[in-house]
Amino acid sequence: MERAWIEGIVAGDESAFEALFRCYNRELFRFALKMTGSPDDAEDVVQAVFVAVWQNRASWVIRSGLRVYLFAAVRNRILQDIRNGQVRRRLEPDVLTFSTGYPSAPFRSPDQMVQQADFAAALAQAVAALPPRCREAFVLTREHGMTYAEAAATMGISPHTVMVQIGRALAALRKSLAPFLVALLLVR
Amino acid sequence: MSDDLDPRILAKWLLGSLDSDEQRVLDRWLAADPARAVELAQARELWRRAGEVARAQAVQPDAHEALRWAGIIGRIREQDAPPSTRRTGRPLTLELPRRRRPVERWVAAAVLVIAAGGGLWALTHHGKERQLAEVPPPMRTYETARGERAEFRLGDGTRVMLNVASRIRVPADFGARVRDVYLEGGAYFEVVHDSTRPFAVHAGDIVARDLGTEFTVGAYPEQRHARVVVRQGLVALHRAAAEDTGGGATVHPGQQGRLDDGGTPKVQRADTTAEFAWTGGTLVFDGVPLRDALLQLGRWFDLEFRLSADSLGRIHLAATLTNQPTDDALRFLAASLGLRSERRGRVVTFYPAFDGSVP
Repeated sequence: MERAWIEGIVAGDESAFEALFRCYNRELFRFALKMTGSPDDAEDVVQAVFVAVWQNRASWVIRSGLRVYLFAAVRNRILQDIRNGQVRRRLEPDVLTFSTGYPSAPFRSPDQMVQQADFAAALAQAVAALPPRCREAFVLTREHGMTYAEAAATMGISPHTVMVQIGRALAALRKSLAPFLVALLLVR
Repeated sequence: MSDDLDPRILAKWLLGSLDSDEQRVLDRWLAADPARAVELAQARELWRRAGEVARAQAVQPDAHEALRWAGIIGRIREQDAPPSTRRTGRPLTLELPRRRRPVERWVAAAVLVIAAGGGLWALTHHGKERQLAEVPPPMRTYETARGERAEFRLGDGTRVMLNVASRIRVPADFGARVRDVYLEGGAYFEVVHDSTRPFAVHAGDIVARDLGTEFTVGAYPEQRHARVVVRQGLVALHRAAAEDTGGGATVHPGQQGRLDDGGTPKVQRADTTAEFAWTGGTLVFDGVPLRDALLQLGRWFDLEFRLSADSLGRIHLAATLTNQPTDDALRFLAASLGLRSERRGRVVTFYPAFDGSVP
């Protein structure tokens, strides 16, 4: 599938481009939102990455997997925008939580929703408070299900360093979420 | 985690990929203090829960996807196409009316999930008080600006397309027992039927209750009565104020329902092709007086339409506008009306074609 999309896009096939967009845009947006803390900035970055993919299609070379390539493209653009002062880090809790916990089928009781939303919101806040590299490593591996190697390729660092960052992230999150974790462990 | 556990060992332990040396380091660390076993269990629980939250978020509908795509296409077109080729050389199809500056428009309008009355943030923080005080549930709002449409799914899988300049509010407890939504403007619904959790659209002076359907509801400010048009299935139509007192009507496919001036539901035939055309990005006018079409045109293109003389408002407009750049659409409109149009910024004025005066 990926091969076919890449070949299609290089050949100027719009439907391959749209298929690529449909497949990855949502998770790239969630990642960009976690990185920037701003839905507008995240939206801007994701759109810019897809525009660049289409416009540079003729000279498009994908060495890693497509998904890692797109995540890395989003990440690099955000870092570049931050350097250029076009993106400010705005990690306000309400911005980060607006997209969490909306009930999807099957329906949950309001009580369950509140409990789940509580943890999701607290987690989002705690993740937002992590140092940038820690946060990235955690978000990529845990929230986007990447392997350590994929996260390392995305971030342009070694898998060893990814593990160190994840270990640090977990230690910090455990401390800030201790009240929740005590309750969750008691419940189970 | 105490400072002395190597973070890398913690990370590898979660994956169960410690080698024997690392395992020994961990064992020593654990043996030094019984509380450390709890810390480790908490870290694992945190890891697991974070994964659950992420998976739950991953399957949620993203109301912004359609606009995101439109933004990308808009940017590509602006950079790609020299103005002279825009009319014929469109590289990609676009489902929305043409947007000038995608990103800025995003900031301005888009389909922001607005935390009206708090949204989830309020739910999180006031959840417990709510159980005590019976405050009405917070509403989640999806909104489109003039010139924008949006498509998304509600939590129950119901597909919604929001027409231009419209707003739909969804209670935070949507679907817990009932599925009520509150509409201003226009929307198309493809409802996932569930008789145990009835779906109802509250719009203007009506309540449209789904009996398994595809239908549109229109409740724009200039409409004296809100209107529902059914393409498939059945809709039960009631007066908003008197929903429980009976006296409703059933709207069948190919029909439209609204209240008459006396407040009695009235069912008539409807041209469903025309009524549903906007969901495919097409605006259809079937011989309506121009004066009545101006508001709708204004919302669709995010422009203000004016007439050089009131009498022009009596001309009947029969035209189908498909996805095309705004200026092309304006020329086409003027031609089909036998008029001339002048655009200055966001204001478009129609003049008689051979008016001697200079605008």
